[in-house]
Amino acid sequence: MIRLNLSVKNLKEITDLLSTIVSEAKFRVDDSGMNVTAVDPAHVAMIRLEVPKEAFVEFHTDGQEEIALDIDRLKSVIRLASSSENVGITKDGEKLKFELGTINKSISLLDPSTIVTPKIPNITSEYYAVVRKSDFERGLRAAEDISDSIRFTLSPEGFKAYSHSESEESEMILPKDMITDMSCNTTIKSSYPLEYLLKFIKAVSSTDSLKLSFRDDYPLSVEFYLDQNPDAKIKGLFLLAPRMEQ
Amino acid sequence: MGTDISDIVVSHETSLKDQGNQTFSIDTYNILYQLLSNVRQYDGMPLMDSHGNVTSHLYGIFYRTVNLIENKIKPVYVFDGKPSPLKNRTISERQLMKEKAKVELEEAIERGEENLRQYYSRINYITPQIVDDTKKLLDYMGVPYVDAPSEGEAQASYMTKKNVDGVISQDYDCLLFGARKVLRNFAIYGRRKVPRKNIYKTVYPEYILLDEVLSINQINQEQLIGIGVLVGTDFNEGIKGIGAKKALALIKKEGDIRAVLKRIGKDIENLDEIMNFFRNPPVVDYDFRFNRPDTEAIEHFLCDEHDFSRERIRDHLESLKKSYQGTTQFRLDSFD
Repeated sequence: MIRLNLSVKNLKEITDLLSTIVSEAKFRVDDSGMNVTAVDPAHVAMIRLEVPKEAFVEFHTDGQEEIALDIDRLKSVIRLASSSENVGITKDGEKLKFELGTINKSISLLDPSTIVTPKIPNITSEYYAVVRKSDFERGLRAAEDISDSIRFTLSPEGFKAYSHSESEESEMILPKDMITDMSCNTTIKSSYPLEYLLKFIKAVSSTDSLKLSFRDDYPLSVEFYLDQNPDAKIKGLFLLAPRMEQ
Repeated sequence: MGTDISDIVVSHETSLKDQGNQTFSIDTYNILYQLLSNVRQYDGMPLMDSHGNVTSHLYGIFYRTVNLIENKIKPVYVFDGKPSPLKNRTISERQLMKEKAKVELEEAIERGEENLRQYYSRINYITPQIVDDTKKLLDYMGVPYVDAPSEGEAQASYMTKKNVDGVISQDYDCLLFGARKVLRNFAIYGRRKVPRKNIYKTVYPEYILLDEVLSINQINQEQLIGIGVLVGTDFNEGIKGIGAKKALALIKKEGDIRAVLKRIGKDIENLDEIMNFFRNPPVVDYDFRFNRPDTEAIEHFLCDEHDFSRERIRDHLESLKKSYQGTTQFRLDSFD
């Protein structure tokens, strides 16, 4: 038996983030809260979200359980709700029941065994920069109509995002005094697919800052918190595989 | 062919694009038989050039390989070596089936039947010429290949533990040989005719993960081999009346295949040799490299020597060249 109640804002942001890379997801609920890990079918991007039980208005589970869902079905339920509401969620056999004010709706659960739980790759780097989400987003938007990839450079002087085509280019330069926190004693460069980054940045709407970490030609790790409830923040991790010149 | 453990296997529908940026070994004989059986003229005769040489395999290998490379999949073709003596029974049975199909074909021709496809498709021989032509084409395409010391699927499966991400094969035997990931319906997908029936079904590319098969069924690799052997493989006939689900239940209850056979009072000839062949088949370590395609050589080989349409080949060669330009998108699982 699972019975949960959380804000529609939180549920919407979780769903928006997952829908950028998958159409189905498997949530794990245990005594500490709820978590979900999803990887896109091409294994280019991964999202991990950890929702502590304190982030819920009501949280009850009889033990560890899995909830496998079609993300589009979940989105269709959220569309019915007002963003200021809370939503009650109950797992009832093969269905998930939602209570949204005056509306009760249930959707079918998927068989959890049909959704592969991705293994989180062991990606580590000592180099990082904590940047404002708005600054990072502007750099991505500047590159949007230039190319399908973007190259990040981190050095002791700051962070750069550069994109180019045969005739055009864009560059965002964040000097170190515009970076909240950083660790880098050398120059590192790596390129990433822009499409995934743009979808991610649009979905992660409530975050103020992002911790970007990478190495030369290495996956990008973005750590963030969803900030609607400062006392019980939802922890997020976005991983993105690099692009390299042939 | 091979073992039928489909009832206990979890497969996931996928696409070539979603499997991009990976390297896969290909059980080549498995693919060649599919191509020789499916790539046919309207009356059922295989594709041939003006010299009477069969070209169905060249047609299939060329277009499929281009298609894989366009989707950023790197193929490594694995050819069969000397078959294991354990396979003699299966080889004899297949030969008998072909002889029977030949007789039926001759009878159908005598009756004046127009569509002989169902008869021709059952008479396929992989000749040394077919193998040589395939290797020549792969050389021109810059695609590596390896000669297995024995079974191609065993070699292709072994490579998943070394330097490739999975095996492209229709046979579940690859799982018994320890292939970490098996990709089915990658050579021929879409609308496919059901053999010997006048109906079509749509098949989609799918993948199977060995770890998932073992964990969902709560068995180990040795038990999976035992299940395959109970059901029947290319090396043994299997126990009559035992399918994959029953074999799974028996293996889980009794622990291993010997205990199962003792329990049901049956015997499997050469059991030790068969089990050991799946555990430790003859294989070689092989370091491969991909080269840029020699488009002039491909065009000469296919169009001048084997009468392929120059226009169509050139279109695909352009696409092949483009696939080697630009950036490569890596996968997260490349960084484990």
